[in-house]
Amino acid sequence: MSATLLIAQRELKAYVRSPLGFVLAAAVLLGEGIWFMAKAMGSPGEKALSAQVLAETFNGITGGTILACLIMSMRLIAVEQEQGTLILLKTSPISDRVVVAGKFLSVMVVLTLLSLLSAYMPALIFVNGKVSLGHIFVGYLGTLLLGAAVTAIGLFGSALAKNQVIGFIISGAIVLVLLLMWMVAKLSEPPLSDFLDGLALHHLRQRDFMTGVLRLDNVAFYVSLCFVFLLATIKTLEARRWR
Amino acid sequence: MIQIEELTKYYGERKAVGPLSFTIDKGEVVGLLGLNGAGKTTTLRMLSSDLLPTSGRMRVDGVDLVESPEKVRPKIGYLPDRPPLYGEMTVKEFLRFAAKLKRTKGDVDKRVAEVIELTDAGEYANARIDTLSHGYRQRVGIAQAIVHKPKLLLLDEPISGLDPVQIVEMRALIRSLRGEHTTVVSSHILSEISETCDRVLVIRDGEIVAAGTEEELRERMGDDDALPLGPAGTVTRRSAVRKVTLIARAPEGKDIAHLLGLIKAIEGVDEAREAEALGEGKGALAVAIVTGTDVREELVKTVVTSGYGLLGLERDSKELESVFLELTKKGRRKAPDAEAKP
Repeated sequence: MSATLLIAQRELKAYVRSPLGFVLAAAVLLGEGIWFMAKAMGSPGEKALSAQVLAETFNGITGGTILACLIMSMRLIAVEQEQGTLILLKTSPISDRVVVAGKFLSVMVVLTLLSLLSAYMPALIFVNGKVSLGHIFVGYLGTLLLGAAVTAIGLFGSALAKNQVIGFIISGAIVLVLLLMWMVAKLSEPPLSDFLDGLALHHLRQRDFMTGVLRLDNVAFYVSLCFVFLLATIKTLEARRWR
Repeated sequence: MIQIEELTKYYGERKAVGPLSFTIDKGEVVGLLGLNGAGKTTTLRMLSSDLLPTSGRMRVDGVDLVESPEKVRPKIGYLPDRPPLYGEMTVKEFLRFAAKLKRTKGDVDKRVAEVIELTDAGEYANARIDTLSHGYRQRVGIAQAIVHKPKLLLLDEPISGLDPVQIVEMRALIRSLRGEHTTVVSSHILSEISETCDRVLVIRDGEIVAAGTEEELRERMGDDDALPLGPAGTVTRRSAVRKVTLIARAPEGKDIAHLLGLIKAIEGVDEAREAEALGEGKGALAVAIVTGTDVREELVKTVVTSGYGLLGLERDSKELESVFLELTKKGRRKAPDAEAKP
């Protein structure tokens, strides 16, 4: 087994053995379910197209995803630092890149499982309405890409901080700024407003995924965010060897 | 095995270590002795490749640690001052994880079973680590450090926080690793180092101020220091002064005065006085003895042939402590040959 998988496996076991994993999954699924019933399905008697209901469902799922990824990733490196176990990884014959990849992978596995558990909502719409499997697939792809980007940001915050609360605050602040970038864009003029709107984590990017539109630039945006923040995390770990 | 050349480490403007130069041969057990904040942990962290030096060179088994850390890491086992353990894992699971992480060659399960047996942690092999006592955590910490059969073993204060029974067991464990690994043990307790190590490097303010065996350090103290006065105003070399306590049971009709007389008559004994025979029960006599030479054999022979039952002969540990205190005292000049391997 590769070291990346070994680290991911240990993280997954840690989720399963601590109440955090179950409590978080239950809370996120409950929140998404309530959103689905109250917001996506609309009021009784109110008619909505099933594609609109599905889009609104994904809107709720992405909210849960952002929160879950921030909470799961805040502990990944900061807790190792707090408990003194990071030194075991840093003095083993593996690179910092492998450590970061293993931890990132573990959150992505949990996120995929969470997404599968939330699939009953799109499935209900699929059975009772008229939506395509492609729309559902694109919606989940957007959710996973958003989750991956938030996890990368969370890992970066966790690497910077010496405890998980500070890690959460750092990464939460970065995510919040990126989420609200579209509001800042509104206050400015083109071409700056277009640039800032393009940086928004959720606003326009997720709207495409939610409505079943798969665009390469949106995928590239999330992949780039992942790359930048994972690289920053690796560099932060490397820099720690100097202090 | 280890070659350190002009190694320094600065945290910002503050010097933590260096310049430090020493060599350690294959199979040696070397103690890194110093007060808290002397630079022991920083030195070990650099040797373990956790921390990069500001300047200088470190070679382990001929490979440069800064240039090729990933080549050297499989050769190093490191137990930090706080054992790096995942509390939610069982001992066996954790060691299996550590073994795979450190690319242990051969059958991992077999090797894990071996280190569990070696560290005597079998009783708790299937227990969660967060339920273990400090002593057992320390054992598991050593087990993870040796699981991949490293050539170099770095132990940072392995006895810190252990109770007396655990200390004895831990010393035995460290001694049992002799030969298989080159070992560096750091401590601020001289007796811990002298019990387990072949050689001592005394570190103060990040620099080595003395190096050698326990005897050599004592000799050096004798050469360097102001010479204390011996009995009757004679000057005695400190290195030759030995303090021992003899505990014996007196036969019928003999008392402490008789015993003192016998001991004082031995050539080389400078002083003998009655001491407390703590915990030895009724009838036990204790004599504190100061000698200029090693007279232990003669002492034992005299006492036993005179009909006394010998209960014990202990060297005064305070003597060793005073050597340590002198060596680590601020303002003391650096030993001239401190940087060279004796």
